[in-house]
Amino acid sequence: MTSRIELALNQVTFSYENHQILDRINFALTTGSFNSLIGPNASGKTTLLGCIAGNLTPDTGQIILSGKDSQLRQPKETAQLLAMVPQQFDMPFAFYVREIVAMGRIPHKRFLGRLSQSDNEAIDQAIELTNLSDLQGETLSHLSGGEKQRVALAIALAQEPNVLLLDEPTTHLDLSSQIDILSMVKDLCYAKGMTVLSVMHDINLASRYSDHILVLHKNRIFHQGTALEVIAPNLLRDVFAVRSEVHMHDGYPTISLLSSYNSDIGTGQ
Amino acid sequence: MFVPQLACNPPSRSVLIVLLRSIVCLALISGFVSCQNLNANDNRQAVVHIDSSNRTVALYETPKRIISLAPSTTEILFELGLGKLILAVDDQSNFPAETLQLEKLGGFQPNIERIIELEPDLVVGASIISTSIIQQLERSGIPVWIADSSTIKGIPQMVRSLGRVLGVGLRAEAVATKIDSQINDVVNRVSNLEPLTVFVELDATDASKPYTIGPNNYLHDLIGLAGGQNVFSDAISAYPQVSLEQVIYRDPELIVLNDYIFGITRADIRQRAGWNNIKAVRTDRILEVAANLNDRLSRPGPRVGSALEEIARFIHPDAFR
Amino acid sequence: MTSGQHPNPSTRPSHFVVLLIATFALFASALLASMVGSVDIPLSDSIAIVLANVGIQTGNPIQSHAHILVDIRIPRVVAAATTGMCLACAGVLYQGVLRNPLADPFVIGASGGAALGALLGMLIAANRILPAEFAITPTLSLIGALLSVWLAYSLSRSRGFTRISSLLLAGFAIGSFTGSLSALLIFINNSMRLRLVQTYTWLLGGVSTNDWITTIATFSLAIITIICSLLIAIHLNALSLGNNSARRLGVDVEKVRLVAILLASMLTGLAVWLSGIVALVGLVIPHSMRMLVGPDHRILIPTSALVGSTFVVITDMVARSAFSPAEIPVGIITSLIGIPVFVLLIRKNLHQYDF
Repeated sequence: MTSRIELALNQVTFSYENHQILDRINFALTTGSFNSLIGPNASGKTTLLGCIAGNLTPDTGQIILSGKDSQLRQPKETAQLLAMVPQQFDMPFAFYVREIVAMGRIPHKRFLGRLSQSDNEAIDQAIELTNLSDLQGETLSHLSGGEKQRVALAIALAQEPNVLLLDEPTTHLDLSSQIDILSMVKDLCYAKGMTVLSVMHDINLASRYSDHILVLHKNRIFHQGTALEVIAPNLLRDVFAVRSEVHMHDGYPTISLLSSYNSDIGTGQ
Repeated sequence: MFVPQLACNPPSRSVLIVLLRSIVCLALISGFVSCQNLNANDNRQAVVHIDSSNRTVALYETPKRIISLAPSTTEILFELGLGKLILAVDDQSNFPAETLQLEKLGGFQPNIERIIELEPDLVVGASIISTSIIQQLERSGIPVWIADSSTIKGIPQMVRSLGRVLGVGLRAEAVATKIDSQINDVVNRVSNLEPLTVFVELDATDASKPYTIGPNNYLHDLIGLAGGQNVFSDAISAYPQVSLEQVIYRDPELIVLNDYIFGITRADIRQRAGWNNIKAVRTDRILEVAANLNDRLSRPGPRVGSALEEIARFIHPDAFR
Repeated sequence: MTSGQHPNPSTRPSHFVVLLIATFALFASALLASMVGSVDIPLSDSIAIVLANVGIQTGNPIQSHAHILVDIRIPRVVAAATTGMCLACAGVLYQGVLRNPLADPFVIGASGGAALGALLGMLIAANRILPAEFAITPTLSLIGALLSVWLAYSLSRSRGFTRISSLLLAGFAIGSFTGSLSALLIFINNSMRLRLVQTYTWLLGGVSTNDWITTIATFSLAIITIICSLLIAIHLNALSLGNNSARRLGVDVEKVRLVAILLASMLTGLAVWLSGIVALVGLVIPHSMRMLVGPDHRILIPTSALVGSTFVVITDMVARSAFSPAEIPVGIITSLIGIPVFVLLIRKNLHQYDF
């Protein structure tokens, strides 16, 4: 299978009030791959996602999405190709879950936004994939943190994007849900050729599900590669200031944390 | 630079321009229509008159059915001998006694529907009538005449022009002349005398900040003609609220209590803190304005002469011996 | 936490039924309001008058009754309906843009500016600086609303984005400032002091009676503006997700906000011109309609417009007739009815509030 580059960043930099947050970021993601973005807190992971999603404007550099520079596209066009699931979201009005998920179809609609057959199918599928079928008639105020997170994911899936960005998607989920969601997303990568870039705080989950891992540290892509290439005690020491052991389990590198370093080495920003 | 572009084309600029143009059109059309209303629906010959407010009033015949919306105009109409033509009056009209039998149409908000139902040929009012009421009446085909004067000396002319329109020119001339001579009689008596300073109290619910009259109003004019000098004739507005300090500083020789009808008496004034510094209070030259005088003082009409005389007598009693 | 019992989406009434009932209610109340007044006009006469106006001669109604019905009552009922739909729809738009169900056409400073503009217009008209034909009062009222909103909006922008909290603060400031300017204007001006009661009454809300062209023109302008609002309905829905999320759905957040605020200000300006400051309609109607038909702006806007106009038609009818022939400012009636209804609604649905 020939691999295409679905999303590529080229020398992207971003600073905010004289602080440099992203420094010449370069990477390329192939179509249908599940990619993880790891790094210490406040290393700019959310900012990077923000730039890719169009919420923030990079100072320099290009973001090539599905073959075209994002900055040359209309936002509506980009929205048909790219979706993001933020860390948290809430709404001041009591929309039902199904209505909220249906908003994911807005990039494909005009005027009053009447939903067609295919729109409803996309919504149904998004709801099913995120196990929200029983909750379609609820309002957000009746949902738990994890259920809300699934709603956010469903909106993104309803957009039927080529590229899906996830910002710490497992935060509020219990252990079984974490596995379920990541497996489901991974399956979509294969089945639909969806390209995923997910910020992960759990390195073992990143290892298990990613085709490719990006390590963001000191404003740059410190290292990238397969789990085998990236996950090693040296890197963990340099980037996360932890002492660890890496074992192979089921073919995936799995880390065990031993202790932390309280030194300057690799503490990032 | 990543520039946010219009998504889904929310109708922005073009719609706004259309809406803004609509506002302008709306305003112009409204105005145009108001112009047209005067000439609508009638091919008969109209005679155009000018009323006291410089408005043009078109009449097709001498009015035989009149409604008066101000107590001053009611008095004038009766004085002109036209009392029997009056269909209804406003709530405040209380003179002469015949008005008590007449239908009352409300206070400052007259019952428009009833006015229209009565089918008057003319509605007469003072300048305080709201434009909205005038417009509604004129749109229903009822002409409106404003008979008002902001000066005492302008009253005879006001009576003359109203009388002419109502076909009683001669009678109006007689009434106007009588008012004129009553005014002149008083003026002649006091014009050579040194004016005395007068403070007119309209309301002193807060005695440290009473309401009084400034320049450019009817009462101020009357006081001047009566041989008095309004202590606040240099105020900016017609009915200013002034500080007690200023009243004391200006030390008026006379006080006219317009709020006597609300229960404020001379005794009350003497008891107010700080007021016995004022000359008028010390010398007890305070006039309590009873309801009857109050009416006559506030209505530009046939009784202005007697009101003027009574005030002049208060200010310069010696001139009337 | 489990979800427990959930209402299924069809607990909300069908859109079609709601719109049908609301339209019917509007027509019924307009009809009723046209029959109410200080003069008794028999029903047969009313019908004859209406028919005569479309060219069919029946019966023999009194001419003065025809004038009363056609020149006084019906224009007033239409003005009341227009005011109601403008205020309700403006409320929906402001609430959608500010993401706050308690926003109101007056919280963003629009009413203060409109009132100031109208007062200036009355001043100019009273002192005959311009010929009365220029309809200066309505024009200045509309301009006042737009200017004050533009001012509040500009004051709250920084680095190209507008924070909602700053917008509310700026709106409050502008509203208070224009309110004080209005008070000053009334205070120092002779003709206005004389007409203090009239001005005060207008400020409390009183539906005006205009000539037919103005009546139809304002009604049409309101309808056009409301239809334009429908075109940004789904964008307003998306705004509820938050600025960033809405942007990611391809919505130009800044432009949608601007358009929504401009449309809402137009509507507010129209309403203030027609009827002074009519309190609470822009708050209570959208709020209660949101509970009835849900927060989707595509149904919320038309429903609020219809119910809002019905509400003002009825309250105006009460204002005219409760103490006949004297009239109470309609703003007092809307407050007296509106506030208890509002409190009841909040108490009943306390759990639905997500903020």
